[in-house]
Amino acid sequence: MLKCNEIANLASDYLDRNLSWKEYFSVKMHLFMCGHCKRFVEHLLSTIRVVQGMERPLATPQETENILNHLSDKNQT
Amino acid sequence: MPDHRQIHNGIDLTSLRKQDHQAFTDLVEKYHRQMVIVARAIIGDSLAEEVVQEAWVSIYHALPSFEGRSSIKTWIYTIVSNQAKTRLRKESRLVSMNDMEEDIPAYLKAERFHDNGRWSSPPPLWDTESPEDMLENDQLRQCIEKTLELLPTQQKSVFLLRDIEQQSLEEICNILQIANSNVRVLLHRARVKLMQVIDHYQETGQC
Repeated sequence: MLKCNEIANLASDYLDRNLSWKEYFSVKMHLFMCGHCKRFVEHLLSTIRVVQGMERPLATPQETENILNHLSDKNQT
Repeated sequence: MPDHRQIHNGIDLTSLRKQDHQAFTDLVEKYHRQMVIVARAIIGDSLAEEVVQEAWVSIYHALPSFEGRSSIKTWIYTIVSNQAKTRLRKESRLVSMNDMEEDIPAYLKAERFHDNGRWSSPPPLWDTESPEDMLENDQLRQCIEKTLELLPTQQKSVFLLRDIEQQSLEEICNILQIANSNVRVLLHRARVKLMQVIDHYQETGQC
């Protein structure tokens, strides 16, 4: 039987299905009986969804211009 | 005339293969920041920007022959990764990029658990668990952005490639030259740290 501290370490592998069938089943069993760990895994999943929903940081106009200038310098030489 | 342009995730591959200026500018704008994060994880802060600049030149010249066997972003990240690795060999110096020993989030530390392995300080309740509601909160979004920014280089890079760019673990291992088991540890630590920020925000209303 897995303990809470083990679940806390396996939570990402559980969400990403990176566990063997046996491990996956053991985690599922634990989550069925332990509200704290269930909450931990649910919060971890919500966290991932929140970050995925955020806008990607775009390059600033200056950064983009630097790249394009460097490219045109290279093309001329 | 029918339009045969190939568009993936808002990226116009047909124009890119023709090295169209606007399409290339859009690509730079969209991926430059992320490429720097990946390059830093391989070669360190001081040379990352330079490596990425050269990688963009290579990408531009290779665009006409992009076959689309992988997605464009996997292709781009592979190019920047290869350039960073080549540069690393040329520099023939050791860049210590080992994040593994430091920075274990509080949630995963022994203090958080009793000796029998049960929670001594269990995860707190959240007022809302809905990602949509949380995304509407500007202050919380800023807290998350700040935490992302401050993640150790390798954690940041693994998190970006997996959770934002949806690359497979195998691809991430190739891009960053990190063993599968370490990629998983780094990813988990990054996610848990971000979760701790939300915990703290829900509890105190502050970052």
